[in-house]
Amino acid sequence: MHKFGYNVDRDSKGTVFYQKYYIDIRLHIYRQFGVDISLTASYQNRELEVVLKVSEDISIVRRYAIDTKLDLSASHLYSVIVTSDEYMLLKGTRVSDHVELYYKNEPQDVSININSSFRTNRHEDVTITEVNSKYFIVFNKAKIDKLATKNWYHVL
Amino acid sequence: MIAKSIKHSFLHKKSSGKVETDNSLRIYPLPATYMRRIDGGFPMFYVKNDVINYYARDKGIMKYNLISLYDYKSNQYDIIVTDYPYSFSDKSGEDMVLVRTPNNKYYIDGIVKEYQNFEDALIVLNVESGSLLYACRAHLRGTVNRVWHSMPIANSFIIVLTTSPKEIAVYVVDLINGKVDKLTMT
Repeated sequence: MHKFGYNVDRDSKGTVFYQKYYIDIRLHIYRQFGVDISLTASYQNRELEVVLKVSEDISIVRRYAIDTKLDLSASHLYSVIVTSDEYMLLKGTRVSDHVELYYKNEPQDVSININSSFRTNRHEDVTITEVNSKYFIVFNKAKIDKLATKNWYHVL
Repeated sequence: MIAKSIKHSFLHKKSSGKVETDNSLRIYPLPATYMRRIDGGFPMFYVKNDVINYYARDKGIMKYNLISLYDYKSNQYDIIVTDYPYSFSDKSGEDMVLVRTPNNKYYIDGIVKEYQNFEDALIVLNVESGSLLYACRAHLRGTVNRVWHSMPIANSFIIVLTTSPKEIAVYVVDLINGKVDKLTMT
């Protein structure tokens, strides 16, 4: 029995997939060990903490820090097509016909076939991605907010 | 201004052997990307920043492969060369994740049907050096059972949880420093 629990506090600032990350996996392995274990991993402020725990008394904790000299914004996950709030579309690097939809960092059980309906159009500050007739529209909020006049259009 | 057409390489001989257009880059919304395989050579043309770029390889270095690094956010891309037998059109296994770390290293992360002595394995591979940073077979009886692996965290770490008859292990793959740390309970 595997229990996977995800709780993600993430901002979609851009180039880094997770600014903040928390995952809690609880795993019951009864055949080999007859124990419940838990794995928690959290990333925040350039530090990853990993805790492997078998019981209240037995646990291993490790911390991994990213050198402050490194610029995280120089990194990039090429699979990210578009992010919006808690949604994210991922596409692998192969010529497969599959796109994954993540919600709150959890892959959704939906079938997205890019051969039948996948299109992305990019304008200066707006990206529109169409997947199976659903639209993901991401725009530069800072620039939109600065506009003195806003005209809103609804496209049906 | 982007040129609307480009002249074929002088290596191109219409009547000699196989000429094959590679569709691999059509998955990206790049209108001017062009790739063609020719006997004894593999010239590739692509447009970047309104400049036509040219890459060629001959039989002597056919072991090398090209990986396109397309950035959906900026609509920019680069090409890197690797000796990893990478193929865009290989539909076996899972889609690969391609990540650039904060210190400018490029890694592929994903499950492959076969690589070196590994079958149905999760691999984390530095595509520039070709060095295998981590590999784990999946779901083989009596050996290691790969339970879960994360997406790249902060483009810097990948976590893998495995079990075997002897131990429970967590691997923290440090992409920045090229190291793997193992947390284990036996």
